[in-house]
Amino acid sequence: MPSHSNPSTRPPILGRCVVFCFALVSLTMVGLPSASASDPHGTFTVIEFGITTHSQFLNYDSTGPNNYLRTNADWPVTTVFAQNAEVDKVKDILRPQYHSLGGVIGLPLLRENGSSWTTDTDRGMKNNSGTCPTNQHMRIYADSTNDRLWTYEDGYFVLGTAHWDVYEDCAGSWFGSSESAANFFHQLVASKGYTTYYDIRYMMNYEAPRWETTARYWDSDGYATQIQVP
Amino acid sequence: MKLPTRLLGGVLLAIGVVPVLGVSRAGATPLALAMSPEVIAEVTEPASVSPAPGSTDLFEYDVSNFAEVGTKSWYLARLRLRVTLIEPVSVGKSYLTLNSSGAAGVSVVIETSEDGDGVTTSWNSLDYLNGGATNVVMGPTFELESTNLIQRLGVRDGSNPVAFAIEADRAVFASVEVLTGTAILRTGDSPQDLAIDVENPSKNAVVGQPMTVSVVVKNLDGEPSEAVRVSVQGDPDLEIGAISPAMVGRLTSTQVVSIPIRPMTAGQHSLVISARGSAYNDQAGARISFIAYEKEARDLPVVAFGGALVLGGGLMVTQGVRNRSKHRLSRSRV
Repeated sequence: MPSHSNPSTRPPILGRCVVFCFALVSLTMVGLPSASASDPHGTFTVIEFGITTHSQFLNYDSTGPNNYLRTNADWPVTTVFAQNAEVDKVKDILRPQYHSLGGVIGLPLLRENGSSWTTDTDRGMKNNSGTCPTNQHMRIYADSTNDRLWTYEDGYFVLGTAHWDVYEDCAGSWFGSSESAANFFHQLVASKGYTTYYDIRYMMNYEAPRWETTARYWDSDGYATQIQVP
Repeated sequence: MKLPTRLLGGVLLAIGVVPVLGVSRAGATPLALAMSPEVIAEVTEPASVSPAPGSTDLFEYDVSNFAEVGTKSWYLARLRLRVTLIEPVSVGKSYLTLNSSGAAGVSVVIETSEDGDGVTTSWNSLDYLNGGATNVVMGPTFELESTNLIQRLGVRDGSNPVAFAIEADRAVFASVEVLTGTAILRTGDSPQDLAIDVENPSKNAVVGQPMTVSVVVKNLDGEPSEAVRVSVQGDPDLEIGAISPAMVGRLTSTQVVSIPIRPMTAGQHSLVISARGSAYNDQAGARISFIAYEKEARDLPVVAFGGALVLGGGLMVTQGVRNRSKHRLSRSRV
């Protein structure tokens, strides 16, 4: 977890993952492909899944109404639920640990055999609520007609973006650190017996670990973990 | 739970089908494919299964031509059901799947929702032929049918068990019948009517140097593909120039397309190339990985060889001079 400019506002829970997250941040800094030095952002671009058949999506979710603008990017896609996944089915897997809702964000996508792009929106799942909560927050996206996408290679799949909401709605609040938030989700799902393939999908959304503002921390290793949902 | 078993005779075994219950060859339901798929195995009598969440083994089929799967041969799963919901219907989703070797072949979602106008029940499917479709149903009893290409993980070499699964977080169904025609089918009609041939650029990839990747886009089925265009994605350390021509247009046979690239870092790079026309299966894709070398590293063997030649030549000359000197010396001693 990144150190904040005002450590006194950092909730105690985050201290426990300092070592883990330091290792994670270090890994993203030294071992993985980076964007150009002048631009720490990953490429805001279309990712296509499937070789035989295709489904496409943007590699970041974003705020509307224009979800195709890079300046509106919210968080990188960090997770792929594949094989026989569906949005609500995946949310059932995340329950009961993740139960509360967040704000609405959208992800543009084009399903297999689709003729035009559509933007799916989701409020996502959080694990805490109440006053000044600190959450891991994951939003799950797919074509809203069916709440899933499909390719021959991936089966029925959906996409996830993850981030922390720290001290939400309170002084010292901040958001981000997608990489470590996603890992919490991946570990939870793995603990429930699902097969996971760590960082197997290249998403072209590497984010150099950094504070963009005092309330927004970026980090992403540019790869998504795939979780098999039977 | 297993359905009553009825073994069939030599015809099925002769074509490699391993029947476990109610399985037979039968006429295929026409799909929107150029070639009608062949039924490999199917349920021949309506069979009631447990309406509770769980899985029911149906039958097995054998894949003896595994090397051709995904290239010349494609397997489809078709699910036909009659379901009756428990009344009053409960709001939520349930998932009905025909699994092949443990992976979803075709999956249907039944959803009951409630708004100001009352309760609505619908089922939806998502398949490669028709895309996504939602069907609103009237009354607690209805039939549904959906067919999809079985995902790659679901077709394995040898025997493939087929099972029907219900997933729900509550009691939804009063009864569920797996209907005649629930089947595994095979077709030679690729979901792609286009193909891409691309030569791996590894042998020419040098960091910082522009190069061209040539792609041959082929029409496979003889029917012209319209509005074909080529697109490409690469990793962030790969500069990609303007594809020529990006818009192929009408494609009747083949078209060569050039993609200028320049690897900016040493190591592995990847390139995903797609061709897509206006029809649903006018599509093809290829993913290639290649290694880019630093110029010095690439030139190292040449430099080393050249250096060895110079060194070797120098040694020979030196040795020759020494020999001549020795010879002179020895002669003088003589």
